[in-house]
Amino acid sequence: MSTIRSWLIRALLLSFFLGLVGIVTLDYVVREKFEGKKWSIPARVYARPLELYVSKPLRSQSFEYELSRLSYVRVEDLTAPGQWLKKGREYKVFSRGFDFFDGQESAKKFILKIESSRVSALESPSGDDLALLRLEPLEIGGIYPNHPENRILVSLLDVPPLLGETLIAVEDRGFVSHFGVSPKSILRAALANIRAGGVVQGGSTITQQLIKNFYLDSRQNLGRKILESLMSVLLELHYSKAQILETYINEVYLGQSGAQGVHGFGLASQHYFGRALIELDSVQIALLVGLVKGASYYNPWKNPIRALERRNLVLRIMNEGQLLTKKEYDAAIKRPLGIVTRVRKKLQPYPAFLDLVRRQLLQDYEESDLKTEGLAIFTTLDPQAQHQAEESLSQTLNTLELEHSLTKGGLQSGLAMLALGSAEVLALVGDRKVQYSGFNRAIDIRRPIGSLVKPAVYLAALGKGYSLSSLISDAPVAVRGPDQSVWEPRNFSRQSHGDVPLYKALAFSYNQATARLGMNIGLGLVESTLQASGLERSFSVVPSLLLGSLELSPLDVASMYHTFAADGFYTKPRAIRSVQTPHGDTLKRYALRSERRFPSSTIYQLNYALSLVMQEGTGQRAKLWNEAEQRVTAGKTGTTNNQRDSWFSGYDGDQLVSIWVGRDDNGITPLTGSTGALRIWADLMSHIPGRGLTMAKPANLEYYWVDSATGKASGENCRGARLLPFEISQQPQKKSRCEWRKNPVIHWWRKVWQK
Amino acid sequence: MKGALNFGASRVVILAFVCVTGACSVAPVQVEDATSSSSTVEAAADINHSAPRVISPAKSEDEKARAASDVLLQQAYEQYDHDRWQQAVQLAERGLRIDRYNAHWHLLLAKCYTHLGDDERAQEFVSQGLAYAPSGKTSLRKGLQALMLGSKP
Repeated sequence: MSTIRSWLIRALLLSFFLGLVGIVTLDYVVREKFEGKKWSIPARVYARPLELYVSKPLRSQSFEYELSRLSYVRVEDLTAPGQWLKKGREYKVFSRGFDFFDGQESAKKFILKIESSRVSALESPSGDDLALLRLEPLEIGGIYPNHPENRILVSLLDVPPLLGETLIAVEDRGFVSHFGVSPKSILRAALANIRAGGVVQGGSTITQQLIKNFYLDSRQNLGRKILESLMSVLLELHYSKAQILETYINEVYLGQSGAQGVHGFGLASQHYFGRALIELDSVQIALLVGLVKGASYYNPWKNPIRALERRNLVLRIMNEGQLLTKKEYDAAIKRPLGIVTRVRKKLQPYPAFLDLVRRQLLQDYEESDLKTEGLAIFTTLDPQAQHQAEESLSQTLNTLELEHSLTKGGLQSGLAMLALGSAEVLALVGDRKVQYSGFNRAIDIRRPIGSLVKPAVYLAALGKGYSLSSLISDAPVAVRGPDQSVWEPRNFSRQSHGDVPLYKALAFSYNQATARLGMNIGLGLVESTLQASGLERSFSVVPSLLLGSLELSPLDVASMYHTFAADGFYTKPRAIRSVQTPHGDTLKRYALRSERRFPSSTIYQLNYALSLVMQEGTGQRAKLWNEAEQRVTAGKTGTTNNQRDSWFSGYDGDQLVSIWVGRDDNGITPLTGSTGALRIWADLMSHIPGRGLTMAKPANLEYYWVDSATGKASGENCRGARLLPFEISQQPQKKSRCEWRKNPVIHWWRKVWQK
Repeated sequence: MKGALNFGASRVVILAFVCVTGACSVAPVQVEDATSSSSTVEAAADINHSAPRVISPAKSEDEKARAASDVLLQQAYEQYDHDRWQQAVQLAERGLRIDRYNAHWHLLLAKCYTHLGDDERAQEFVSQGLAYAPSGKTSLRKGLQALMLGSKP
């Protein structure tokens, strides 16, 4: 007998000990996860913030597009951040605030006027001039972890008080007073379940729901219920109600976005309404709280009626709990769901640009850090420019296929757009299906660039003592290679043009003249010029290099041309400005640097010749598609053998765009650079505001009139005279014979009056 | 006869003058530089109908845009004066995005990088600033040239 009692006591002691060990272990598990890093937070990627100031180039449609992407709501009267209205040419906006690296831009009301595609006034509501302000940057994507969860973390300070109150009223009325479990709720749920003969009601408190979501899985049995209750009590022992509620608000599952689960109210607010949580009103809060019960069952896009009924039930509870007045409740239940369109939320925008961002980030960060640390990546993307680039590219390809009776979808394209000066990547398109995240043609294609290489040949020649009026023979040329093979390039028109000045050979893209010029100055000089312009890829230094046998991507070409456009200063293209921690500390900056690579005088002359390409050379077709365009631009067309590749790279005073058009199978097309890629460029530039090409004229350079046929000095009233920039030391010396264009006296008289 | 001679002589004088003033001259056509406010280039292009439009000389932004640039410049120098070079650099880059030909930004960047010990980058901005700064003996040019000589700001 005593043996049995002894064993019983031992069993009891062992059970007590094991129970104690179990509880201590549970306590450790509860605390370890709650106090540690709770979630893996993906890096969030932002576009550039829109800077507003008087005289900024900006079109009304572009501004409205930006507001729309930022989910600003058009209203009759401004009452809260994230709203705008328009009267005539005047916009009134209530901006949201944002914490930038250099301080907080507070939410504010402002008035903006746009005239002639520029900001003409920027004022406060009281009429004071505002020098400068920024809108918050658009979030354009994330770098997601492999596990299927996504969330935007919020602190209780970012949560509307009404959300917490509604959650408690709907999910757990005794939250403030219970100790983790509510026996009353469990009893009530048990009775309901017995009556129904199955599980129809849960008696879980908010704490228990958090334990289930955060520590356990969705299986339900008595053992797990006991475990859940124990852990809930332990959680409440260690942490405040506010900490538990905040974690719940960030943890709860509220929907699905593709393969990613939408967790927490912070992300759900963006997912369903495109707005920050703090901006939600009572009706929107009611819908989100209603989704806690079953985000899939009450999915407002799939089951809008069911979601509406659930929302209205929540609104009724809010009214009963005196969170809403009767009047507010009556108005609220009449409102529609007000969610954003589903298509917009489903698609991941800007895949080509995000691909570039990811590649640049991976040079400095571990992929796991990008997927888990909640970093904020501030990029250079201009959503307006990107949107227009996508439109121009896809629509123009459709038109080209129609006009040339090509198989629909056979043409492909890649596009890179840089801001002049900073070389920031404003837009990138890697596929005509702009949402497609496959092969990125803006970065990854390698195609011969054809005549796009010619500016490097002429730049090298200008640096070696040639001037724009130097004559070069365009007669047929043959070059024997080391293997005795003969390279005999021909002009596109199959015609020769005799002796031609350099500017004309470049403007009209004469192959024979360029090949001769390149061989005269030496392939090595052309190679070093290409490298100095920023080309980092290796290429074969063979005679055919002079006509563009080297294979590049649109971004490579943009980088090279940026050096020409930016006065000879090389700046590496950048897609990222900075990386910040979730707390706003700057981890890394991608700072600007600009290195002088070419003398200003030769670059100035090159740009002058490239502007002639657009005015009278192979680029003048741009005027056909854009008659209203008055900006001075510069650029170059490129076409490869059998018209397999159509290229164009060109710029105004603000931005540079390089475009390739061709077929993925390297097939023949009916397009040249000027009938294909240039057409996309012209359409894009006609929709993007910008200033004409400007350049600082070097002190050692002057304009002189020269005779275009002989390259000798001429006068402005002489037939065939051209105004060309020369280095002063190279000014034309010999005078050509002058055949007056106008009576010289009348000309002189007019000139006197013009002066 | 005397009158005819006089007419012939005066015609020669006029024609010679016309030659000198443009029709067959090799004198350079005056083009405004970054600091000048005239628009001789555009006028010259207009005179000759066959002449192409000429690239406009680079100018810092107009007065209205200058206000935005000035506000930022003031903020950037406040950071600079408190030895917060990195913050000043970030504001300067923001300013350059608004007004890329304003050499005051290049001067500030060169000063900041000199303090940060990145002389190579400082010299790059000196070089760019000198390319865009107004010609003449302005304080801006002097500031840039002083940095080029290696003097500490």
